Amino acid sequence: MGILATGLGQGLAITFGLFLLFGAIPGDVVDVLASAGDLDEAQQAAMRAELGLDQPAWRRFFAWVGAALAGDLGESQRFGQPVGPMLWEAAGVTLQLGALSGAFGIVLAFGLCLAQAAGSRAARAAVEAINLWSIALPTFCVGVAALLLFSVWLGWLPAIGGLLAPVVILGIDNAGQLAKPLSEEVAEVAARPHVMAARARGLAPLWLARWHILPLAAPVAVSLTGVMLAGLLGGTLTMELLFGLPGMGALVLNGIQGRDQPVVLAGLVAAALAIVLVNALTALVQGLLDPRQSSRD
Amino acid sequence: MAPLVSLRGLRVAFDGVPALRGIDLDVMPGEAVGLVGESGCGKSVTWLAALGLLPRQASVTGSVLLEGTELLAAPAQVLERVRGGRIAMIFQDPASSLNPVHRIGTQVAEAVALHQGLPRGAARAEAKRLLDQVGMPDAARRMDAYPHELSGGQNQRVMIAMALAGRPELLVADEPTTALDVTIQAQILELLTELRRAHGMALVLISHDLGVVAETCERVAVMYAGRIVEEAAVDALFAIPRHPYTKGLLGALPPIDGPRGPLASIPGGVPDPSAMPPGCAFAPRCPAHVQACDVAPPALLERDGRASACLLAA
Ligand SMILES: Nc1ncnc2c1ncn2[C@@H]1O[C@H](COP(=O)(O)OP(=O)(O)OP(=O)(O)O)[C@@H](O)[C@H]1O
Ligand SMILES: [Mg+2]
Repeated sequence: MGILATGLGQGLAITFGLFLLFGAIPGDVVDVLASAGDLDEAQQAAMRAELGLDQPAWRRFFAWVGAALAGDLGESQRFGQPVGPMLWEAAGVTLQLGALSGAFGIVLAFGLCLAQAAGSRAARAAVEAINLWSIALPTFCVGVAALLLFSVWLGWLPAIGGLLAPVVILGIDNAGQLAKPLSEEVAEVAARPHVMAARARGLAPLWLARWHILPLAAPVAVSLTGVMLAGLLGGTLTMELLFGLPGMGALVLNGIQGRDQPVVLAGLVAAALAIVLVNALTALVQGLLDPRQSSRD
Repeated sequence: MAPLVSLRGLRVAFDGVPALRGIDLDVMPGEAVGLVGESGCGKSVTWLAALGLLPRQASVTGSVLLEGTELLAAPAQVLERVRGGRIAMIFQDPASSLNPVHRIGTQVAEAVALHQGLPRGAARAEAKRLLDQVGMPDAARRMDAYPHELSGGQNQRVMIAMALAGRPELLVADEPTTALDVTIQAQILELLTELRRAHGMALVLISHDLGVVAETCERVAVMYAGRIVEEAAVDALFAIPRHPYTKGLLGALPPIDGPRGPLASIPGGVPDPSAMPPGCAFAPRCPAHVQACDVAPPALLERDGRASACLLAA
């Protein structure tokens, strides 16, 4: 309950902040349209009035929130299309990329840490390697390199619209950030007395790792997964632009370039709400993982 | 009778620093042996080494025979079957020896399923029976409790129930009552003795407390700085201690009815394991010290069915 209320408050605050920010960006959609064609001053003023751009920020904020709650996200000022379907389509692409790369990263990180908990030194070394990789190599550089190598030179992947390369690149990047702290936690948990006692009972290493080490190390990773998923939104933007995927990042960026306020707003608010949701889910899963936490509340 | 477990020349070093310097000890089937000595003398390491439970940086040499089978070089699968199945071990702090995020019924059933190969439902039923057997009050309801919801004594009962799941021939209890208060201590020791008789199980009781050992065990081995310095039947040891260290321990023992404390009142301290004296490790603290003591560490020699490692042992 508390989590929900906080999330709602955060969502509203972010939305209002965006309105203010948007007002601070010089130029609006009418300037953009005027620079392309020939609108005189009177036409521009009429257009601003029609779009409500002459109203103060707080009024536009409440008007927008009211309409959005009723399911109306307005029309793109630039293309004259309803924002809802545009957003829906773009969100589908981004969610697919985000979900696939997030899942790949989580599976890779947990897999390596499970192997480490079962006593594999190779897994520990692999964790260090992908961690270094993710710190040292920005996804943008890896993306460009992958484009050059696989698409341009080898001709294996389509340069535009292919999901495989961005999913792997983002996945490894996420796994690197997630696996390192998880691996440290695993090492710490593995040294606790109950693990020694369980070994003394004859449990096999993999069983021990699965039931007596990983569940106790997982909470740290779950909170990190929240941060990681939020960071993924940034990563997907890079990948969408590099690999020409028509996702949210591309939509919002194009919207900003065209000062297309309804598109940008809807896109950013959707992203913010997604982050708030991820954080709430994270807190929920943590509560489920550790019975001591729920009985303390 | 052949010994159940036989330790021979067991040595352990951590990063080149010796922790055990040659342990010879036999445990007969069904007998109760006490292992006493000051903190850090190697009591726990002895049995962790025997079961292959020490971390990788520990170097372990010598021999650990379980009814003739060498355990030190044994493959992992063999060791896993011995652990809990033939030799079980319980530890000092029962609360932290249990997995905090699993219900105790699940944990006991896990041990039952592992060692008796029972399916889930039958394993839970057997787990409940074991919890009843170790005197867990209201066992059926406690199956669903988490360790942090139980007292220290109840958690130790859970550990003992798990140890029984494998029907072991030897239970190594490493200071099982140190973390518990006095009345609970007595109950747990009584339970261990009872179970040992009922199952014909041998017991190695590791303790700081000679009084506890005297009540529970038939034979005692006294350790000092990584070696056994004296070994005898409980009565003989208490009546006539031969090693000056044992004499010191007995002298430090509180009166029988008084409160129990740690063994600490022998003057001086344990030698630094990385700078052992050339001769007897106890020589620097020994009231009976003579020059011959500093030549070489005295061997553990047997006489009249008991053994001591002292040149002057009378
Ligand atoms: N994992 C380890 N790494 C390094 N040294 C260790 C390790 N475990 C034990 N030791 C050392 O080995 C020696 C013997 O330790 P051990 O735990 O067997 O003592 P103990 O007789 O059981 O003492 P206590 O009564 O305090 O439990 C000590 O000097 C200890 O520092
Ligand atoms: Mg110990």
